[in-house]
Amino acid sequence: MPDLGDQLRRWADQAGPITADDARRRAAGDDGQGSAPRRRVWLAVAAVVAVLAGVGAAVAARTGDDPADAVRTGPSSSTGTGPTTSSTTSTSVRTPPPPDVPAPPARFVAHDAEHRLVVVDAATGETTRVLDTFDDPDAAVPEGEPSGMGRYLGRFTVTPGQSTVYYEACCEPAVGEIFRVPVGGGEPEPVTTGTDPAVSPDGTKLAVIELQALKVVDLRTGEETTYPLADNHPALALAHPSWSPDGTMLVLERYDESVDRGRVVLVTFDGAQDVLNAASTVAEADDAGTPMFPTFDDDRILLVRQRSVDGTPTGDAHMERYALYGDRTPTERGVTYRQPVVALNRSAGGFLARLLADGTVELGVTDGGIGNVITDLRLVDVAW
Amino acid sequence: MAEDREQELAFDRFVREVEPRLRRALVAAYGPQSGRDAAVDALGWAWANWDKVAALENPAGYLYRVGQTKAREGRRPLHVVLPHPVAPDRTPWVEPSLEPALLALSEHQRVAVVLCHGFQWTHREVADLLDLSPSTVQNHVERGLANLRRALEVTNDA
Repeated sequence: MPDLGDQLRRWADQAGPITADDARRRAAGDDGQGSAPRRRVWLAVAAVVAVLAGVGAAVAARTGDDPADAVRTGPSSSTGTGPTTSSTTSTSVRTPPPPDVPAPPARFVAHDAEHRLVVVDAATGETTRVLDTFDDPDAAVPEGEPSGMGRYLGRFTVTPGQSTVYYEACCEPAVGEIFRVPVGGGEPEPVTTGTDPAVSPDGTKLAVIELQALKVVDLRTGEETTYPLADNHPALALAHPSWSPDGTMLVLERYDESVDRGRVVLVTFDGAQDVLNAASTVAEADDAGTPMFPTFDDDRILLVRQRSVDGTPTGDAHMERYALYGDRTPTERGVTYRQPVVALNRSAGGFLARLLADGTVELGVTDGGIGNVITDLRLVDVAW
Repeated sequence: MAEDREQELAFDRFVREVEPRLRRALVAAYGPQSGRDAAVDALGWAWANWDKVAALENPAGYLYRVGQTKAREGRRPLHVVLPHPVAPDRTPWVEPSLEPALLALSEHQRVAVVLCHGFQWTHREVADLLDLSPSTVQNHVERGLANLRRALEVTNDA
């Protein structure tokens, strides 16, 4: 195979150069040499072209291709409706999603650097506070408990309609506690005990980790089903559950020997009670113990994880995707980042939100590319 | 008349500077035939709107979108039209499998790969043209190259 770069140049340069006269002739309708744009004979043509371009620009704006539509950094309408505080953040927001695909969510929920739970406008980066009561070491310390062990915001999940956030308050009690709060703001309401909440795509079930067990809460009835590990299959920890798009499967990380290196297992809810013990291993962490954050891709039912490129947990990371059906061979359709993904979440429509180690948020990730990129919000975790 | 001539000369300089980049970018997006035609359209539009174009900070990026709009207005098919990859002397000067491999890429991937890998544009330059972030362009390049290499079974193209 000849040099690929040379092949690409040859391919592209099959199209010959264009001269200024070529452009003038095109502007004149291919009917002779052009002249200065202010000449009277030109004005009618130019006006028609301008009108056509205006129409084209309007169409492009609707499809997200107009240059003026690409960067919006100013304030926009608030997403909050409750007793929240809105603050506009200057962000680097780039590019609308590609046309002809379902639109990703217009907002997402994040844990920001000031330890608040906030709603972020995906187009503008504007943040609206939902809760700001976390990470205070002296806050909400139960009577008799040692100080400095107050609750902090753990992982959280958003319902498909983005009306409610379920979040983990850790670690008093040690098993963790799950609350829910309206996205628009309001009073948190306790739901159950556990950590790592993950709401199902249809919004009817909530998966949580409760010590060495998986628990599923029916959000309509409150009924809880616990799936424990067998005594002869101990695990140090379970973490990061994520539902399949159809709600029949769930992936999570399982740590057997060290919390520094886990594996991703696939749980299939087939009516049996021992689904956790029957779960199959899909992927193991690399030698560097790079966190994997498994999740699903709506269209292709693939699992996403990352592996360290240079053998360190903080260096370049390569995202891999595994087919859940067939031989589960890595598809090698991933991408390498300059730093690992520290949070990964899939929206109800199948769009990914990735948070990189430097705080960059990449939204609307699909095979066709990436939608908005927010570079300077310094977030800790994201969900949408 | 002197003002007209001055505008013509300014436009000539503008075309010499912008045309190669604009043409190659639109060719990458829509193929040699349709892409070149879209570039002619975009430059014609620039001439008809020279006062506006002359004041733009990123005229190549703006005209790229004009070319996109023209290519999508129905005058040309939306899909990429590629010429036959074999030269008249029957020497396969372009790898035959390059065409389907390029067609399999997304538009952004194709533009990013052709411009960055074929013409050594920087990620920033492509980002300015496409109005993407450099990191997004980097992702398109990496993903596009990986797909191309897999399709072409290229192991070392340095």
